[in-house]
Amino acid sequence: MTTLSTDKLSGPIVDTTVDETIERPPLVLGETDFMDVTDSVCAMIENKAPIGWWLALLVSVSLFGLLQVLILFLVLTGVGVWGNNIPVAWGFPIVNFVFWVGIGHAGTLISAILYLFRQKWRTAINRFAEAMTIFAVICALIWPGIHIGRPWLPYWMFPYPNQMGMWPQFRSPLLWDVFAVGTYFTVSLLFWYMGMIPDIATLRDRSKSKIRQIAYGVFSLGWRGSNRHWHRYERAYLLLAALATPLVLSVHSVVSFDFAVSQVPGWHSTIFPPYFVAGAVFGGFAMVILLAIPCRKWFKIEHIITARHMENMAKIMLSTGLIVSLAYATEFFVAWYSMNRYEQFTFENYYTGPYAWAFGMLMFCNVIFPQLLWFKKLRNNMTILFLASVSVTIGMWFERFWIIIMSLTRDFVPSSWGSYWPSWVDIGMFAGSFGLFFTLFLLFVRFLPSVNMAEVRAVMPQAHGEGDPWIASEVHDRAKAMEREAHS
Amino acid sequence: MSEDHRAIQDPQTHLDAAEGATSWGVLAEFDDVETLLSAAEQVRDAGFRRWEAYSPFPVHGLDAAMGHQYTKLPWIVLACGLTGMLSGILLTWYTNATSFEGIPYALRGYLFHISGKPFWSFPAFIPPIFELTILFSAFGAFFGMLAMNRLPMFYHPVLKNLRFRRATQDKFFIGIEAADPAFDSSKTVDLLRSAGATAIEELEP
Amino acid sequence: MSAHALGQLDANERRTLDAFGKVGLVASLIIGAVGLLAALALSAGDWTLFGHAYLTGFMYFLTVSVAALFFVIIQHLTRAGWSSTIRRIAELMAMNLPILGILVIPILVLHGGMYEWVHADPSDPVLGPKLVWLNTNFFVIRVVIYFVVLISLAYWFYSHSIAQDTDGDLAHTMTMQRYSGLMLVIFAITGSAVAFDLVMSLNPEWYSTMYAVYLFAGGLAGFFAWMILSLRLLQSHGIMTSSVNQEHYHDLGKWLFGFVFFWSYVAFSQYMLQWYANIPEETAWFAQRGATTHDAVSWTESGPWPILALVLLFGHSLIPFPALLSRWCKRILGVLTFWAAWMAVFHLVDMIFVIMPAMQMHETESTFTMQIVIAVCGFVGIGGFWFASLFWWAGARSVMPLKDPRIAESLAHENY
Repeated sequence: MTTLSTDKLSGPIVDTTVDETIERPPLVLGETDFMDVTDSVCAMIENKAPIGWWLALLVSVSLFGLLQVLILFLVLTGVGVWGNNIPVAWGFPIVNFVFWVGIGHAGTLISAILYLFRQKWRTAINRFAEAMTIFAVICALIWPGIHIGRPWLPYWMFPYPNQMGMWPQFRSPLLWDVFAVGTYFTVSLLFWYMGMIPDIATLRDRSKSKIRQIAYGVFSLGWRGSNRHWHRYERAYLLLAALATPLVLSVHSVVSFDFAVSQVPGWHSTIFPPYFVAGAVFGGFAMVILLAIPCRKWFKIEHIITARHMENMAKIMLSTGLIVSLAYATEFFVAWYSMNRYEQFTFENYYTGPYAWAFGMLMFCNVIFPQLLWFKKLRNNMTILFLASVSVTIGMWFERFWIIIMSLTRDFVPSSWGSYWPSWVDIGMFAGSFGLFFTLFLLFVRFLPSVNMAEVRAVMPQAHGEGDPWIASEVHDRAKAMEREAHS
Repeated sequence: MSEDHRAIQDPQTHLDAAEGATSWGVLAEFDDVETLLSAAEQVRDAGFRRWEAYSPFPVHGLDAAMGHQYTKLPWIVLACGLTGMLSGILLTWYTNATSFEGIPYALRGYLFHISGKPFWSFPAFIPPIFELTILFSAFGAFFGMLAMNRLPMFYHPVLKNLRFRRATQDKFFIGIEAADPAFDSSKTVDLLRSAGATAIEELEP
Repeated sequence: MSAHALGQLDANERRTLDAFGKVGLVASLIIGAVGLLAALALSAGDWTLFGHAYLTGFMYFLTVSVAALFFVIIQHLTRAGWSSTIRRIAELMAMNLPILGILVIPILVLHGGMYEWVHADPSDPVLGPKLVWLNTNFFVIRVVIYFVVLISLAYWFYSHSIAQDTDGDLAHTMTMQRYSGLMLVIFAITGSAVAFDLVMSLNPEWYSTMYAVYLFAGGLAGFFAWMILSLRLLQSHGIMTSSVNQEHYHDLGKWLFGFVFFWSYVAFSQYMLQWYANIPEETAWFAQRGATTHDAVSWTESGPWPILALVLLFGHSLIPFPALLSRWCKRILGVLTFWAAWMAVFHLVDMIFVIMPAMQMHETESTFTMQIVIAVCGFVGIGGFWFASLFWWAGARSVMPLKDPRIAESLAHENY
């Protein structure tokens, strides 16, 4: 930290959130050159960790330990330690699974879909959003893993010849999940790792210690920035983005199929696939914002993840939230329009039944509170944005609670109605999954490049020859002009 | 620590023409994109074949400046995708919709009636088929890229050069191999210097 | 690559339709009149049949115009730069909503013969309760409201954009951007309701929450197809020859591809979910259209409809998807134009697929072939008037937003 002249990096204060029509706001602020970007990103790894990092790690590791102990307890005792019952055979484990898988969607959305839409601002945030995706999917995979009853037999889900003469049942949506989430995890991992190769090479070339040099050297695969390599690398990146886009769509659609293929009122709705995808992106962006706000402050990268980046993410969160709200409205309208007594009863039950409080929570957190982000002043206020993201994270968890618990407790026949309440193990495990998530994330921030340095360099004005008149001249000039204004 | 990286700023070149025969080639450093682009054009026009430009990020316009062909990678990905799709169709069909006599028990398909669906339930098989298509394509894109780039390759002459450590940080390089028929150590160095190189070094094999 | 245009407009380029516009207007009117008269003559007094065919053509162009409005809103919402030179075409297509607002009148007149709920018995256990929403008075009121809202949105964007042509005021762009979010919300609610009321209620027992998304996805595929075709037509008449280049076509091709995929995704999800749950009142809709895996239903009860369902599956999804996958296909204008025309045709097949099989619920003498032919006549008829309106709005105005602040960016834009 000592060698970084902070006044040079943060530079004069430029308000990038001002909307202009002719000029685009600069993506990297200050009198920054390529080495400044490299330095400030690598500083997150090369400098001593802030005390806050250690404290956060301590808390996270403790929670992760709790999760491990509770999983052991579960395996030794049986699923009776959970609140699951009949009719609510899918309790917290599946709520948490869908919640975490949903969060795992923003990373690939930022990497892939925003890349295809040429949203260059994504370069500052895509790396840790991708990392977040990987970690969220790991958290998600725990739940079906321990919910299968005999968690030592998960390999039964894969197609392999066996002495029982049985094959997996491909007409089951749960098996689709195995393929969808498995593929998603693998492809996201490849995408994340491939994006990191040039940056790991940067770390390798800056390493002081032998251990670091060897470790980063091995993972950088001998990357040397050759132009032929970059050409194929970029093409591979574009192809992976093009493949990941339908994949993101398919994964949460398949998760929604788990519910929607059934006949249970409240589950059997054709809008579920796109609505789940929008909800996943909504919740995922909330988590990216939650992580970005402290990270950019603690690690002093506010000139790379600028206020404009935060505002853009707030806007995406708002718009996906509105799509989700429209889906809620459509579901309620069609349930009423259908005049199907079971459908109507289910939907009335949402706001009059025993879990009406959870439904109210969902509506407030997901539909009402995020509307604050319509106002530019409020969405540019980091406190409000942070609160909105917390609200959405809570709301998206309650959405899954709503869908799963409320529909299962009240099905067609009153004699099969029931109720559900989580046990302390359920709650402990859910808290523990946050421990796992943050442990992995905190380790990532300290050991791997959290910002895609290669891509950030590529969107800086200096990165362009005469081939890109728009970026090379106007935006750069405008950035300079804004700085001059700020000086005077 | 950034000072350490910035410390290598001595622009002098210590190239010994007599050693040219045993060297791997020369490495020239450039400060900015525009010089790199024009230098690449000059090297290309001078008829070099075994040379390469190195940059800390993909530079647009460099492919044209170097005269590169468009990569064949998309075709590899397409082939992998089709393989994945075919595997998915065969897998779902064989395991869930067939049960051939004469095949060992463990390998035979498993017919199972469920919710009145036909054995060959194509709509229900589309999700796994789709996922396998994407999975195979992604493997094709990732491993295809690595294979075409001949990575991992942990040994390369340029990686031994200290100055080259900034190729992954902020500097741009052009390396010309001595094995190139057009290579002539003094002329090549002159060409690179006149093209705007801030430093030129010889590389050992 | 680098120096082409550099954000400068070619001063000598033509950007008004002039004589071509006048000829186009007259020709379109004639084609429209001939198409509708043919549909009338061929249906020979079968107003139910005529109504369905008319609705097919009407919904085809309504979905395209609504998609055009969506495109305009989304360009402002995302502050897109690449599309500024071609945005006016979309604005003009959205301004065809007024003519569609007039053309909807015959549907309101004929709806008694088309929508089953008009004659439903209030004591009917399924349809009876639905009459609260589905009744003639409320239906007419709602349709009027939808058109008032959609036309207002389209006109608001159009008038700002046109005004900027003369005064060049950046405030127009700022205003459109500022309110585009709100406009999108209004648009989404209205658009969904249009789909539920005008098309889904043809089969009033059936319901699908995905339905509006399905029509929307198909409409956008149709819109991008017509966008590409319109630009090619204009350029072949020497209009906007330099301000629309290969890069714009490539991007439009990507959008077209994207919505071919999205339509397939939505169509598959809607079908698979109802196929899997196998609830009779839902599967009836697909059985009526021959889209079923049940052999007995598909080849005997529904007549030739299963063939149409397969044609739709291949033509709207499985064939154009791989065809548009390659970058090469999207950058060679002849190839792209072919696939745009292909998708323009298959959007019609989609509309026929969702609307025409509802004829099976009515007494009719007509054969399957006759129904298809009349539906195509209906499409030609509505299309004629739709294009006439397009030429009329274009009139003597520029077909490019001349003083849009992002023209330079649009011209300099490159796909790599």
